[in-house]
Amino acid sequence: MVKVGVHRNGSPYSEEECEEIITKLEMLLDGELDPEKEKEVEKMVEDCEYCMEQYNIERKFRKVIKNGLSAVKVSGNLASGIMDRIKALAAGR
Amino acid sequence: MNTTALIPVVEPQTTDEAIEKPLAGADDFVRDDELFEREMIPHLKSLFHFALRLSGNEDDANDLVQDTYLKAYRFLGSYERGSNAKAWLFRILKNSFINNYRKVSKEPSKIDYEEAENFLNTGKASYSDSIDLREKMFRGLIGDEVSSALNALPVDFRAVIILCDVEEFTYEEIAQIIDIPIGTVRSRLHRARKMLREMLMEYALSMGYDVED
Repeated sequence: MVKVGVHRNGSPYSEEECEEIITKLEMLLDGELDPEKEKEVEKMVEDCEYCMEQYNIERKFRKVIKNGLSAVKVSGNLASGIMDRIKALAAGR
Repeated sequence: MNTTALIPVVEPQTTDEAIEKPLAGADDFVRDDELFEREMIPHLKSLFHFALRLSGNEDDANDLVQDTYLKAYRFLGSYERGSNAKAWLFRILKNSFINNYRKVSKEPSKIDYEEAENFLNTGKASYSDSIDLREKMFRGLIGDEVSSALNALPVDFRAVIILCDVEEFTYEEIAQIIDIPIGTVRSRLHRARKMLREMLMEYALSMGYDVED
């Protein structure tokens, strides 16, 4: 298990650099990087064991959030109640 | 950066005197209520979920969704057909929430927000020492735990998590829905996720999950 990212020259990443990396990985996973930047970050992930682990964890975290939050029950008559009111408004238009 | 407005500008906080103008254009023969049913109602479940996460209870969420749709109908003239109906509705809902609910509820104020920031800065679990731990704790988590942890976050943090991670809006759409710059969307998401992860990890530890393996 890699505890921290390491530069090519062997020096460990600083706290700020780690935060920076996480932010980039988040943007990659959110699909928010332009193609050029995307390639750059993908390369970074491939080259750095720490980054790869972070990337995989971020990806799993997204799944946990999405799966954990998506089940929600909507009252059955909410939609019909709204449409009834809309239709009444439309009739008066 | 594309600066074209994805979401037609509406002023949902304006009250009933709003102009009600009929839709114009080639599709004019489509009745408003039919258009509405076809393009707006399909987003009801997502809107309800967002409303529930913002308000914290089902009654308010039902009211919020209903208000949102009635406002959307009133302002249908400013909705451009075929444009981003979902983001438009989310923006109206978020404005309704801020105008009508946030003031009266005991939602986190600026002070709570700062407390949240401080919580983050004390950094009980930093990235560097906890990869292993986080990896393992995810295995034991179920939906209810994720849900409670999310509900414990300040409302501004909850909002961006739902918009990005559940509804998969782009940063640009989120920026327009909640009226903040894109850079703020990015940094708020980062902080919100970090806080959520830390809460989930503390929860996992408190429940005695075997994070040490």
